Amino acid sequence: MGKTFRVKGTGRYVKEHEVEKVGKKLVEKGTGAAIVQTWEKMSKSKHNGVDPKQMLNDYGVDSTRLLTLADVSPTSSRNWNEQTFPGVLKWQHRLWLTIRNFQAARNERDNLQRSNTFDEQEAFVWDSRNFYLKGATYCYSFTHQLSVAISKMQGLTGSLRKSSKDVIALSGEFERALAVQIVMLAPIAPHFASELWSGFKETPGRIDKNPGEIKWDCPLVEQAWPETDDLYKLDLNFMVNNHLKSSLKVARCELHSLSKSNVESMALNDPAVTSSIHNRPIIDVKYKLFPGCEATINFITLKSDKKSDDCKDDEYLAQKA
Amino acid sequence: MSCCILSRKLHVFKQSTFSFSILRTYCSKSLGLWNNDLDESIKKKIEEHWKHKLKRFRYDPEDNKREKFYVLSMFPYPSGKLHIGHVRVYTISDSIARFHRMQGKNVFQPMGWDAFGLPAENAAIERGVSAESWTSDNIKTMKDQLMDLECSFDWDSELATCHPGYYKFTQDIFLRMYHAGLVYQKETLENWDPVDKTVLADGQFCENGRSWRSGAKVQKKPLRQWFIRSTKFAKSLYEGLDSPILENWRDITKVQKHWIGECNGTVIEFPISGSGDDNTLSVWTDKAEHIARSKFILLAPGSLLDRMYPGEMNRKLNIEATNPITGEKLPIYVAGKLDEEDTSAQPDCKLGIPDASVSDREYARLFGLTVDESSPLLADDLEERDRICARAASEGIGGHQVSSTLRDWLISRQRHWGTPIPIIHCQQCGSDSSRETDTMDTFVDSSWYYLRYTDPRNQEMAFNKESANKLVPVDIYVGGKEHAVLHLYYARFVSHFLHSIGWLKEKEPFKRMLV
Repeated sequence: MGKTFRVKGTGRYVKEHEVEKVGKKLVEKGTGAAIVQTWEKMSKSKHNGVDPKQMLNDYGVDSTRLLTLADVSPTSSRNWNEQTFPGVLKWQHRLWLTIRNFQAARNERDNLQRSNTFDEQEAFVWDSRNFYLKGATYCYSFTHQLSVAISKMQGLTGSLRKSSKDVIALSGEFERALAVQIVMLAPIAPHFASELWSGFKETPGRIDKNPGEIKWDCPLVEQAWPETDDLYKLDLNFMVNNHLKSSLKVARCELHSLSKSNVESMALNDPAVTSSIHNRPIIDVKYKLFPGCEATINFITLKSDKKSDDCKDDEYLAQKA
Repeated sequence: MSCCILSRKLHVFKQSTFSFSILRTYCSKSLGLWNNDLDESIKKKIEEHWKHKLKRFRYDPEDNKREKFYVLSMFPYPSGKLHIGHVRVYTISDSIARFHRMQGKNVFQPMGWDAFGLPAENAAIERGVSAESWTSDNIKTMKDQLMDLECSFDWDSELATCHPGYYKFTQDIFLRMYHAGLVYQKETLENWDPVDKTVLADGQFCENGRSWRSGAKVQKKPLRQWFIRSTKFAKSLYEGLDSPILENWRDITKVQKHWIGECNGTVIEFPISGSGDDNTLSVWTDKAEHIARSKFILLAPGSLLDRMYPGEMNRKLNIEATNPITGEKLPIYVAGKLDEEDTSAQPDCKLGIPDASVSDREYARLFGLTVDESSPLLADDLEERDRICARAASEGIGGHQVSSTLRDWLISRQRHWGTPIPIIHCQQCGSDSSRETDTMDTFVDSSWYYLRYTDPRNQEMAFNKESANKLVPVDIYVGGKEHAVLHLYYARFVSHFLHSIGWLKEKEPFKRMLV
């Protein structure tokens, strides 16, 4: 859908640059006629089309790709609104500054000392990396809502930029998290992320806390997709008839090793689950592990509204994203 | 020395891995502009710098270690330039493909051109260029635009449906359907677009009766047309929507089920007598076991025979149909719905069995036929129903399960720029013959392109079964919502057909739809 401007009364289509704001009202330049703004299917005659060539020219390839995907999920009809662009463009700049600050802090590393919040900050960075990596991976692999994946990446940037200079320079966890930040961006903005990656690799004072995780000799697009840490706690969700009743935090390595029957007995020990089942016979148990992200067990009991079940599965997935 | 020149020079010494590692280190340096603020000019410098250094990925058919992942995006019509909807679809598809590569999968992401169709013919008329050169120019421009977007397509598998190397296999698949008894010609009342001068399929015009393409008011016109008996697969296509291999289809399942309709009846061909030609009438019934007790045939207003023999409502036509099971002649009536409040679609042509259906009894009274009011309605007999259907199927006169509203696939188009229907008409061998001039609906071209991608240069077969079955079903299919009905239905139909002749292992072609 394209942002469309029409003259009130006649319905004549006008171009955006022929419209101006007078007070709170939109009017046509020159005539002063009142203008109504709507969203309509793009077409030449309505002067509301977005030309990809123009966009590539104005913003470049990677920003065009990011702007196309950000804010709206792939399954909804896209409203083109340049008002949403600054957020994405600013974020790119914040990533750029993150590399600049990383290099600056590392160059001063010999003169820096760990502050007393160092451990606390490092733990926060560790948790943020896992949290946002889990979210973005889930979007890329299961829901395909890339707009949500982008907002997860933006979340990680926010966390990283809270770090103090000593953490940026001396923390192996910061280095790991910054690597994950850049790798996650690679599928959407390959040129820009490659440049960030080179800036990252060229920075002196490499720590390489988890050897083998970062392939330092390989270009960005050949990096392996990162994994959440074994000890990071993921959600194990318990559902009854497609409704979330409760959830447990389980370390990734443990969650991956649980069998369906393990999970079933864990869930049946939870009073929130048993009270919802309410002694009704269980007719089906669905278990799904989303590797590195979460797992969900769903008990289907007799007397549930069978018809609404199928769609609720999907609704649940959509909500999760 | 710029990296590109170095790269070219090193190309000569391909065997030297040492040189390559130097090249890689050299090339992966950043531009070092970190102290500048990121503006559009720096972004463009970055893109210029990385454009030729990003690795070109391609699917490796020899690799049996990595899991395959087939990312398909709906191929574009080469209209001249990409629009923003294309940019969105191909960026989504490319981002997903790149993600799965980083997850260690052997990703296949091909691209091609849905290149037959009307705009090329119109352009040819307006500008005096050939449809072919107009199309190939557009392909070139749009391919450059896709390259600019840095989409990592497997360009080695590129195809265009208008190339003889492609469409001869569209024809090949058509002929295989012909030999499987799925192709027939029939005079029917069709939706005629008076501006584009062609027939339109159901769904190619909107609710107000205007063509999607030309905007012209669609007319009804009797024409002898080619059909594919897609309804024969209706039940398989309906049930396939519950296949466990489909992931998260959500409302697409509903849209498809609505289109196909619940397969609660069957269609049987009844020869028509007195019409002066050899046409048959496709009659729908949900009580085939009682076919011997049928007393009349009911036509919906507006159907072909109603137009050919016009008159008032609730009338009897001067032609008769022959019951293929009993040989009995049956009268044909035209009537609307009994209950005007009823919002369900009326079948075009339905068998009237007053002994087995309340509404048929009412119709019989309306038409003044004798009805034995005292006898109770005949009960359903599913065993006998199966027997009658099987008999009809073995005689080649229908018998397959289908909903009351689904029609066969009309593929005839009176156009030049399309896949020619590969049929030669002749009275008898050796006599004068004429080549069919109709071409196929472009939905036929696009119903199997994802299979051709797996083996695009094969000139012996549409595709090698082994290489195709390694790659399909497609893992994720990205595209526009507007293709979730017809295109998807036809592609699924062809896949079910190719499965039925042993070409495909899996019936369903697409695991996950992202529209």
